[in-house]
Amino acid sequence: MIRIGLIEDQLLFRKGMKAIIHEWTGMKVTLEASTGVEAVTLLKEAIEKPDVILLDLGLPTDKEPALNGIDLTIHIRSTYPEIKIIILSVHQHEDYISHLIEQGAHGYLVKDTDPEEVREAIHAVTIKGFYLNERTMYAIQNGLSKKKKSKISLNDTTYLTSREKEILDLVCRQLTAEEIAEKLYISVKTVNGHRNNLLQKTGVRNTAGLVVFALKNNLVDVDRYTL
Amino acid sequence: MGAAEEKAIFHLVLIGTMGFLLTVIFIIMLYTRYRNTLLKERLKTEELKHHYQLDLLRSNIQTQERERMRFSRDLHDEVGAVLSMLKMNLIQLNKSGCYSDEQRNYLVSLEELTIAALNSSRRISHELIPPALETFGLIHVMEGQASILQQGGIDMTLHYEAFERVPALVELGIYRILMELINNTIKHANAKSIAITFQLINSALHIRYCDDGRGFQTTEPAKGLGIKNIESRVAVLNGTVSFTTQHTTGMAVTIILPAKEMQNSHHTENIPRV
Repeated sequence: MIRIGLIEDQLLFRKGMKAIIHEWTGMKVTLEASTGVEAVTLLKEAIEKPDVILLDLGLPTDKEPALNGIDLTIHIRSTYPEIKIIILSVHQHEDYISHLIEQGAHGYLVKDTDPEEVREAIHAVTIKGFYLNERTMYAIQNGLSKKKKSKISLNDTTYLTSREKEILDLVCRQLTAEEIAEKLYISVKTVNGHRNNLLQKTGVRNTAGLVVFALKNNLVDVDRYTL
Repeated sequence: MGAAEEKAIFHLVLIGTMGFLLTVIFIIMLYTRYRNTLLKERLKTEELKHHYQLDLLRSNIQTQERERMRFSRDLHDEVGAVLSMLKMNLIQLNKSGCYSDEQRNYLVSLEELTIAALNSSRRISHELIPPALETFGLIHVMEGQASILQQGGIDMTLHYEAFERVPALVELGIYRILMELINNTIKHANAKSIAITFQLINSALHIRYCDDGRGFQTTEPAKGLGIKNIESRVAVLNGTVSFTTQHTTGMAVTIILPAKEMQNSHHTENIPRV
């Protein structure tokens, strides 16, 4: 059973989303909050924390301390690193998408997305650790091209071995360790070894971070990953 | 008549004349002082009037912007969320397999209508105020604007150093001024490139906007509505603006905003939700 947290201030949307989720087998909404502060309190009190949180960005900020979706993403990532965050927002602008992924969100969906994709994303973040659709990947890449102009230096990528680059490529195609092992005729253990090396060399914290790294350094081409 | 008497008369006349002169001088002094006070009063009234007008303009613009912010956000977040859920439910219904082909056609057209409504609400909201302005700041939004202009064949470069976030209404003011200038350039100047520089000098913000278009002639029917708009927006921010133009070599606009406008965190002016 995947436990899901819904953090969303629009009651109609929250109730609607909950009804849709409860139709799916193996998922249950265990936490509901309508403000950032409420979410922080409920998360602290919850004995069984949610596995996945669907998070809205436009939370009310009129009461102090105000916590919007971006603040909350940062808070959850640092306090409960095991919880996966999928942003579910009306904002579809690339700036928001790339910013939130950089802050550690595991996936980004626009609110009017096909419910089926929401289900896929929930499964993907629990199994693979992240869910990045085409729009998100483009956003990450474009988010970087803007930063290039302001002269933020990129990490040197020449020290990755060709095997590591190969694995990175497959990680970006959202293959699991098992699938990569099968494809390259090596053991899962070896794949994980390579992946750990990649994490160490790139200095990112998780698989989603690896994808962001690859996209930012133009090691992969989004057009090849139409999902 | 003795010499002593003559002397006494002479003294009397002298004292009398001096007394008279003193009185005249006194009256003149009194009068000038009175006039000065009157003039000062009048100047003060003028100044008050000017202040009052500026205050009126400021509160006018601020109210307008606050309402726009609120409206834009409510439209985007609230109406957007409801329409999104409507679309999700329609997709679910269509997949449920309980409907005939004809009924499903209706469901598809309902979905398309919802998408159209969603897109409109997004567009209207963005036109009122780009939501990224509040979240990511002026420089970020202007960079986005630069890539839009690039598609239209105009090269816009931004130069800034140590320019961080300023209060929300100041940011919004600068954004509106720059958009007005960009619109002018697109409409009238036939320019190839625009350069905007943000510079903090003694904590006052200096903004310089240049294009390489055909400029405008000083003999042109004085001030267009666009320039007037810019001037009042700058006045509301207690700043100064100067336009320089040379026929065929483009135009340059310099805006200086005082240090005190740059203070306050941009969070202090958050617009409460209803």
